[in-house]
Amino acid sequence: MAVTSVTPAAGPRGGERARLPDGLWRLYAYLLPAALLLAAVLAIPIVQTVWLSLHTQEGLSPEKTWVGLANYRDLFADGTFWRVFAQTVVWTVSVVGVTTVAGFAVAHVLQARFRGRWLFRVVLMLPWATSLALSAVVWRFAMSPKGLVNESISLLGLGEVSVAWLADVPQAALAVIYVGIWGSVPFTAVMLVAAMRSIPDSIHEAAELDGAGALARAFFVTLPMIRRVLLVVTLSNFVLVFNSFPIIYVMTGGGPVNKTDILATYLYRTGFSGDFDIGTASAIAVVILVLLLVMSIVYVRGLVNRTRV
Amino acid sequence: MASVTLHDVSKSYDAAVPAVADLTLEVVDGEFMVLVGPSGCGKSTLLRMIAGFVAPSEGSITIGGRDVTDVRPRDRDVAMVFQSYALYPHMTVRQNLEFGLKRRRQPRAAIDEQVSEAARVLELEPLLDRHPDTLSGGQRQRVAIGRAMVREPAVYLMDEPLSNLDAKLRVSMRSELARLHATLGVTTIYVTHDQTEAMTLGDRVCVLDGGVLQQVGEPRALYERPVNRFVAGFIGSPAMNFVEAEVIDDALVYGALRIPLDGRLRDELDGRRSVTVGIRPGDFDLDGDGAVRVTVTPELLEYLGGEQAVEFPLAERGERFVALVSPRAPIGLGRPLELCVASDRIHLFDHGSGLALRSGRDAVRRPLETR
Amino acid sequence: MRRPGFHLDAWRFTLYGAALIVAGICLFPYLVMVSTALKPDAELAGAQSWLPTAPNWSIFVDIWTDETVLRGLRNSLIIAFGVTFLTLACAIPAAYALARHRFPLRDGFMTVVLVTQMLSPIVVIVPLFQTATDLGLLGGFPGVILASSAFILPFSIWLLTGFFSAISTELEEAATLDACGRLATLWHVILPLSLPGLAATAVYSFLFGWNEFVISLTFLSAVPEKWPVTVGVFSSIGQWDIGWQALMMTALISTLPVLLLFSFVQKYLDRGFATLIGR
Repeated sequence: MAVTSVTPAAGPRGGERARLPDGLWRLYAYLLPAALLLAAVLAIPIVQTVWLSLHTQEGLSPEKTWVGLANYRDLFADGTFWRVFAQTVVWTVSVVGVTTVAGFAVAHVLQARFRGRWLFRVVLMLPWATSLALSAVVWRFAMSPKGLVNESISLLGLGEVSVAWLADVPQAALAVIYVGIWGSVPFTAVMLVAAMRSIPDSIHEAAELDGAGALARAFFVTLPMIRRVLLVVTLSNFVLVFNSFPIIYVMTGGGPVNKTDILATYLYRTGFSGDFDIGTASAIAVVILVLLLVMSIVYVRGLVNRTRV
Repeated sequence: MASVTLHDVSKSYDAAVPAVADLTLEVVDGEFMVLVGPSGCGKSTLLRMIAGFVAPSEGSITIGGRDVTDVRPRDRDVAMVFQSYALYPHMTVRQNLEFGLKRRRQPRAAIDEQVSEAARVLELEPLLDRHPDTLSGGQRQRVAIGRAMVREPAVYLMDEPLSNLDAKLRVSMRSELARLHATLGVTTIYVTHDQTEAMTLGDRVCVLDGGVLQQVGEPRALYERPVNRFVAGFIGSPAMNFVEAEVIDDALVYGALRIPLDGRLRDELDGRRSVTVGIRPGDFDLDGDGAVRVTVTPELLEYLGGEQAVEFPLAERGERFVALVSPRAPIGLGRPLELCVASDRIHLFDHGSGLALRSGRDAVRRPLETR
Repeated sequence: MRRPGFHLDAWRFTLYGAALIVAGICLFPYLVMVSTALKPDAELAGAQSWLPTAPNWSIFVDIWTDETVLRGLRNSLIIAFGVTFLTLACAIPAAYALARHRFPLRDGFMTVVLVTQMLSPIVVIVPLFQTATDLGLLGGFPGVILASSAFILPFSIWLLTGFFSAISTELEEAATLDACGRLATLWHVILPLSLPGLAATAVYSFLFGWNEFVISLTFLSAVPEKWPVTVGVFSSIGQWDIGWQALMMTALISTLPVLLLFSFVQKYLDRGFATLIGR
């Protein structure tokens, strides 16, 4: 992925090149382990992905046949792919959208002083700290027709229900989106709180003297002042959620019949189950990479521009 | 102990603006040399070049006769006191003092001896087992000096070491530094932007502006005989008053100010019709017999205790002049006042170049060392 | 926020209400874990209720004798520590060079670091699987650790670079005069002063290794005895047939070290977040 050539440099600009008595090579030696690891696990495989996407491979045999763009042609002609693509957009936008709004609200609760706040903080961090693969298993279990989700709905007085949450859409889609939001709000809220703490008290006091209530201050003082962090957090949530694999893979496996699949799970099941279609899986990976590239340009641009305000 | 020589040293971070330009300076053995100038004048870059943190783009640096231009900082036999003190926060005072000696693999006994000697001289004994963050500013400052001392370097480099202290402490640390230098007699190069510090501490003072050496000399020489308008304005507080005066009828005239031309002034003018006149606020007298007399109307009085500052305009809408007079002088706002200045206290500078005008053999046309 | 009289009560009421709701939502799966772990098989068959009628408390003891679970926890630990170690070993020198020196390609490297944070294992899992097969790294911990570390490395470098840059240059110059080379400066000055950053980085990479799923799932699928908890619990229906109660208990247990670590370094993490957003 030729990322470096299209993204503006993000580090502080070097003014002076100091005389290096130890020699430049020794400096590069400091970077070598990291560079090797990144090259071996990220850079080279990206190139391999592109190469594999132009080939076809019979099951697990190492024999590869050059097919040019045939994998892409087949992929783009496949209605399932486009449905999964649309589902990916719905999944990403709804999870990130709700997470941002909810995160902002939760951040306000987290920031307030009240008894037992530390406990609240620990509880809030639980979803972030637990592996999504594990919590997804638990959610799947709780969402069975006779599971504790339905039981809780009854307890809340919303009537006796026995929904098979994961058996069909739209409820299965709603369920995975809910869990997606559940998993991404905590970190978002904690980051936003850190940003909110950096706003001087005096600004809030001034706004209060100007007659702004809590809500007005949240929207007209806090929000504009943390917009850079909000942008960074939202953009990185976007990438994280877009890439997210465990929740959907564990809860629904993309089913029923691809109806909750997103590109990430679709890729995995194409390449590692059924007829192990490595070529098509790689083509999907390339599509994801291109989308990520676009997002990273937006991300870096946004980050660089906003930081220089 | 050693002398330090900078030979035609230049440093530019970007091609357009040199941080230090073609600078030659010799610091003699045992001397206390102060580098002074406004921020961005290149004094810190200069010090960092001597320390070896910054490599000069051109020129060479010798310490004790040895060319150290390409020598690593640690091998230059210099010690530095940093502006932020740069004490290692995770080490106790003792560990801070010992660290450099340990790294140099000095024997334990020698280290202990050095440390206790420095602690005694700097009165750090009760603080040895504390961490820097539990010390006051002045105490940290002394630890920083101690860390330099234990190394027994050939040269001390000090980068604005007093700038983080409050005013009172600064004055007392200043005299402590002077006392230490008198005792140890080690070559010291000291950077500051504070001209008072420069004047009180320096055996000699080197004034820099825009990366260019303006004047090197003993404090008195800089004050009495500044080579150009920059040095004249920078050294001395309150700053020297300047006006552009013209020659009219055998006198230099600006507004109410009329300076009769005597022999020296005429020589220095050397046929110019206009010139920059500089007068130090302290050179005004209330009832002296100076040749230059001017009647002014005070617009602002500042009582300073030991003296009072009078501000007055010399011409309508002209800049205000400042004069320092006795605090008991019976003067009042708006009440006309006669001031006089001795003719030999008048400084003349070339209008365009800002260079001080000198008469005859004394003529100065470029920055020069005055001793 | 101190407000007088009735206002205060209304404010407090809203606040506690909101906090309780959010906490309830967050806690839900953990309550499910506890509730399910305590139920005898019979109560799992039909419609479930929150409170087990005959709670089986012995699960808290029995779980520690379940070899499958213990092996899973041990595997998770090996992977998590491996990832932590490898990540720090690569990130510390790299971040030091990036924070402290200007050199050709520096900005390029920083951009790579920033951009690669967006990659998730899923996009390169196919070639990684093939490369691991070719190199004989399939079915073992080294392959999983190597591959996982690369995905947390960019973030770690970025975080540490921020911490290292915050250390005063003068301190480093002082160390230089005290006869420290680059390595000695790093060891004696930079690292001791970056403990919060190191802690934050270590916790992040530990968490990443502990929670990692896709790579272990792919690389270790053929060797159930090397499965970490995440893969084991996911595959519970097949190879890890340990029953729902033990499964829930395992999920709960595997959250514990994370929680401990988190409360232990919360202060440092806060500073980590502050650094993160301060840039």
